[in-house]
Amino acid sequence: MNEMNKEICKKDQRREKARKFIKTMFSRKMVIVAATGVVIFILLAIFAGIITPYNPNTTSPYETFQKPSATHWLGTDDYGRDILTRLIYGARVSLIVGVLAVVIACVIGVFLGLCAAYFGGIVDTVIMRLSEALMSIPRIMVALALIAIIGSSISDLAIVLAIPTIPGYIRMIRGQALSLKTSDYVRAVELQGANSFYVMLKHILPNAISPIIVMMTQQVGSTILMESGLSYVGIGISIPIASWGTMVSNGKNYLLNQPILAIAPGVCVALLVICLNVLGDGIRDALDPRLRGEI
Amino acid sequence: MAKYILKRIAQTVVVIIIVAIATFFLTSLIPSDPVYVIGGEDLTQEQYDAIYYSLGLDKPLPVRFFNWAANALKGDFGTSYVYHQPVWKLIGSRVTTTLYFSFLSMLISIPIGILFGMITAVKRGKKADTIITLLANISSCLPQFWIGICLLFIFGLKMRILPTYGFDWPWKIGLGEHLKLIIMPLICLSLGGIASFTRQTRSSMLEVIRQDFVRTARSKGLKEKKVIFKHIMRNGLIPVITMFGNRLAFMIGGSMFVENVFAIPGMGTLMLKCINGSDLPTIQALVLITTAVSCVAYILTDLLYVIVDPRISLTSDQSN
Repeated sequence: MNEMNKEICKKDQRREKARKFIKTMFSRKMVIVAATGVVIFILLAIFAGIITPYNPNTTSPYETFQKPSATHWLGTDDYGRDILTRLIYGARVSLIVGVLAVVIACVIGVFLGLCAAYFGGIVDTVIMRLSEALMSIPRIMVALALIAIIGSSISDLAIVLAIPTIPGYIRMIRGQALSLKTSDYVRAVELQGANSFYVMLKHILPNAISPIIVMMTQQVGSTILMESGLSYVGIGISIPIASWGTMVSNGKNYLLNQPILAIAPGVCVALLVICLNVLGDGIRDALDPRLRGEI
Repeated sequence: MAKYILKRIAQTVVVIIIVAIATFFLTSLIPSDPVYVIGGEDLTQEQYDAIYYSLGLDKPLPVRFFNWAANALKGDFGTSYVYHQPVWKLIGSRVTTTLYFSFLSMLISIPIGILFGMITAVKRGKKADTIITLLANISSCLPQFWIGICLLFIFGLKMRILPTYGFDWPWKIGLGEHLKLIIMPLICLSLGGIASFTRQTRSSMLEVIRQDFVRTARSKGLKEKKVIFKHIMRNGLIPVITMFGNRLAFMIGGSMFVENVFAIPGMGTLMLKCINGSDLPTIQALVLITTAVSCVAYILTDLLYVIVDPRISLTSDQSN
C-alpha cells in the first residue's frame, strides 16, 4: 500500500513539474509565436509532398522566370521550377541536417564527457586534450576539411557539422558530472556494486540533462545557418536538391530579373533560425529553477 | 605572471602539434589520388611513377609526416597541386587580406557593440532597449552571405553607387576606390559582431548593475555618469573581453562566405578552390595557419583578461 502511494505521489510530482515547465515556457508571447513558427516549418517539411502540387526538381523550359501569380505564388526560377515548392522542400533539408547534427554531436559529446569525468586519469587527459585541439581550429575550417574527406550528402553534412560542436558538449557534461561524481548518492550506488556505465547513464546523466537540452536547442539554429552557408558556396548540399543555400547561390546570377529567387530563401533561413533561437531561450528559462519560481 | 604565460604557450604548442598530426593523417584520407590531381587523368605508367616518387608517396605515412612537419617548421608547406606554386607564397597575400578584413570589422563592431550594449543595459525596459535588442537578435540570425547579396542588390545593382566585387589595396587603386570596395563586405562581417558584442555587454552590465557596490556608489551621491563609466563599465566589460578571441577565430574562417559573395581573394576563397581541387598541401597549411592564428588570439585574450582583472591571475596561480 505504502509503495503504491509513493508511486502515485511521484507521478503527481512529475505531472506538476511538466505543468510548471510548460506554463513558464509559454508565459511570454514571443515564445508562443516562435514555437508556432517552428511547428509550421516542421509540418511544411514533413508534408511537403502533399502541400505543393509541383515537384521541386521538374523543369519546365516554357515557364522560366515567371512573376508571382495565382498558379506560382512566388514565381518560377531559371529552369521554370516553382520557387515556393523549392522553399518548402528546402525546409526539409535544413531541418534534417540541423537536428541530425545536433543529435549526433550530443550523443558523442555526452558519452565522451561522461567517460572523461567518470574514469579520470589518462582517459580524461586524452579526451580533454583532443577536444581542446578540435576547439582551437576554427569551426568552419574543420567542416571544410571534413567535407573534403567524408563528402557532402545530407547525412555526411550532418556529421561534418556535428564534429566541431562536440567539444562544447564534452566540456559541459564533464563539468556537471565531476561535481555529481563525488555526491553521496552516486557513492552509495557505487558501494552497492553498480557497474560504472550503469552509474553514468542512470544516475549522473539524468541530473545533468537540462543544460544539455538548452545547448541543443541553441545549436540547431547555428547549424542551420552554417549548412545554408556551405550550400551557398557550393560544397554543401549539391545542386539538384532544393536547399536554401543553393537557391540563394543560384539566384545570385539572376538578381536583376528575378530578385525573389535569392531573397526569399534567405528570409526563410532567418525566420527559422529566429524562431528556433527564441524557442531555445524559452526552454532555457523554463528549465531554470530560479525563473520557474521554485527557489 | 611569467609562469602563467609560459604555461599557456606550452599548452598551445601541444594543441598545435595535435592539430598538425590530425590534419596530416586525416587529409591523407581524402579520396583522390594526388598524382592524378597534379598530372591530369591521362598519364603513362612512367609519368605516373615519376610524380609518385617525386611526391615521396612510396614512403610510409609516418615518414611522410615527419618530412612534412620538418619542412613546415621552416615555413615550407610544399607545392600546391592546383596552382603549381609554393604554398607559402599562395597563402601569404591571402592571409593579409583576410586578417585585414577581420581587424577592420573588429574595429567597427567592438565600439559600436559595447556602446549599444551600454545603452540597452542603462535604459533597460525602455524603447531604446527593446528596439536595439530586437535588432541585435534578428541580425545574429541572418545568414552573412545573404546580407551580402541584399546589399549587393540594393547598392551595386539597383542604385549603382558601389562596385559589386573585387578587392585591392589603397596604395594601388587610391583610398576612395578602396573604401568603395570594402564597405559592403565590412558591413556583412561586422553586423554579426555588433550583435554579439551588444548582447554580451548588455547581459554582463545588467549583472553588475544589480550588485551592492553600485548601489553604494549611487547612495553616496555620485553622479549617474560617474557610476556608469567608473563603476559599472569597468566591471561589466571584463566578460566582453573573452569574446575577442572567439570572435577573431570565428571571423578568420567565417569570412569565407563574404569573400565568396564579393569575390575577395582571401583565405576562404582559396580554401574553397583547394577543396574542390583536392589540393592537399594547401588544405593542410590553411588549417594549421588558421589554427595558429586563432591560438594566438586566444592567448592574447587571456593575457588581456589577466591585465584588466587582477583577481584572475591570483586565482589561476592558486589553482596551479
